[in-house]
Parts: sequence; structure tokens; C-alpha cells
Amino acid sequence: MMNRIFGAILFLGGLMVLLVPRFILPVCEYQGYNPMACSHTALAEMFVGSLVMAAATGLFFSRSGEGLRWLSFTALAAGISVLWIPEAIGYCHSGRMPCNYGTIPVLRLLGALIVLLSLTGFLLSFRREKREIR
Amino acid sequence: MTPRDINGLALRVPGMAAALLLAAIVSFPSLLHGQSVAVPQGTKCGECGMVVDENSKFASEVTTKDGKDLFFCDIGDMLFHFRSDREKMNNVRVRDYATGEWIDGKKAWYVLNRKIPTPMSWSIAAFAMESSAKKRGDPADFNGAFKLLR
Repeated sequence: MMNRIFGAILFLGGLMVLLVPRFILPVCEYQGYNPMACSHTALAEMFVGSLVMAAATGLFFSRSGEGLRWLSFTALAAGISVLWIPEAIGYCHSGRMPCNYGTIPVLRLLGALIVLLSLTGFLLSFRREKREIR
Repeated sequence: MTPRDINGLALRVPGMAAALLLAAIVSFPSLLHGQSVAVPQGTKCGECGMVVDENSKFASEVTTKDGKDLFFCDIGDMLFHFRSDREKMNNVRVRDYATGEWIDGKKAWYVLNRKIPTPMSWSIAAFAMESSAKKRGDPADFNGAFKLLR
């Protein structure tokens, strides 16, 4: 049951990371500006979002503590990437640009949520494995 | 020296002087305002990665102390890029918002005016003359311009 709950929430998180930079709070390029660093950030985030969704799907269908551990670990790495990508690739620093006031803050929030959830899943997997051994 | 040589020299000296005078007259505006800068086509902004529009009044160029040339699509991007290490900037070239001419960025006056749309929405324009800057807002000198980043 725990795997299903973590899987479902992480799937939604990954889906949001996939949709936010293009459709929900689009980066500058999709709001009439020329392509720039935030456009590349958006593409990278969409890729990572699909990775989170894949890990979450695996988590949803896995039943073992080991599955919870490794899939949570994958989601944790992807969540850290969601937070790190805008700093590494770049975004617009003017507070009046769409990516600065819209996309990036929401991606940071989603990244933090994914990290928190997957870290919890990862830590809980050890307790669960102990229970399985008993 | 024969009279023929003297005659030739007498003809050449005024000619050379006239050529020098002409060169001085032609280069005077660029000496006054700084040399014009050719933005290479397809050059990307050193801060945001957007292609720099060569005709934009907000394009700027910075030559760093280690000889690197950086172009920016927006004066705000240029200021933001060097906000914490402005001592690395050697030559700064911006465009006068009033005339479109390239001017020395360290001697320019900067104005933040939200009615001026710039490529990255920083709304900062540069002016050669303080008087023309005053018509658009509160002018700030080069060091004060970094405080206009909002």
C-alpha cells in the first residue's frame, strides 16, 4: 500500500514537472520571447519529469522493500536534478520575465516536494526490509 | 636636394596634411563617443543565451581584463552578469538610447524606466548625456547602475 501511495504522489509530481515549463506556467520562449537559457532548462526539466513519472510507475507496481528503496533513490536523484537544472543551465534573472516569476519558483517547489517524498520512501524502505526479514 | 625634390615635397606635405585632417574629422565622432561595435551575427548573450540583436539599442559589449569579449542582449543582463565582479570589466560599450550610437559604458548615464521595453524586461537604458537621461528618469552613473537591477 505504501508503495502505491508514494508512487501515485510522485507520479503527479513528475507530471507537473513535465507540464509546468511548457503548458501551465510556460517559460519565456512560449510567451513570445526568443529562445534562450530558460528554453533549454524547460526541455531538461521535462525530461527529468518523465524520469520521475517512470520511477513512480515502477514504485506503484512494486511490492518489495527493495523496490521502494531503489525507485525512491531514482526519484530522489531526479528531484535533486529538478532543483539543480535551473542553476546549471540558467534562466532569466529579471523579475519581470515569465520564467523568473512563474516557472522556476514552481519547479523549485515541485523539486523540493519530490526530494522530500522520495527521501521519506528511501528511509522507510529500510524499516520495511527489516520487517520483511522478521 | 634638388629644386625638383623640394617642389615634390612641397606638393606632398599639404596633401598628407589634408589626408590627416580628413581622417581626424571622420574619426572624431567615434573618438568622442567610443568606437562603433559590430555585433557578430548569431552571437549569444553572455547571460541569458538569447541571440543578440545587432540593431538593438540595449545591446552591450564588455571586454574583460583577460581579453574576453562578451556581448549582452540587454544592459540589465550585462550589469547582472558582472554585479559581483565588476572589477573584471575592462572596456564597456553600450548604446546611447537617444541616438543609437555606441558609447563608453563607464561614462554613460543609466536610467530605469518601466515604460522602456527592453529584450529582458530590465527597462534600463543608457545615455551619453546626463541631460537626455534626466528626461527619462533619475540618472545613475556606471556604479549606480548596478543598483537599478530590480
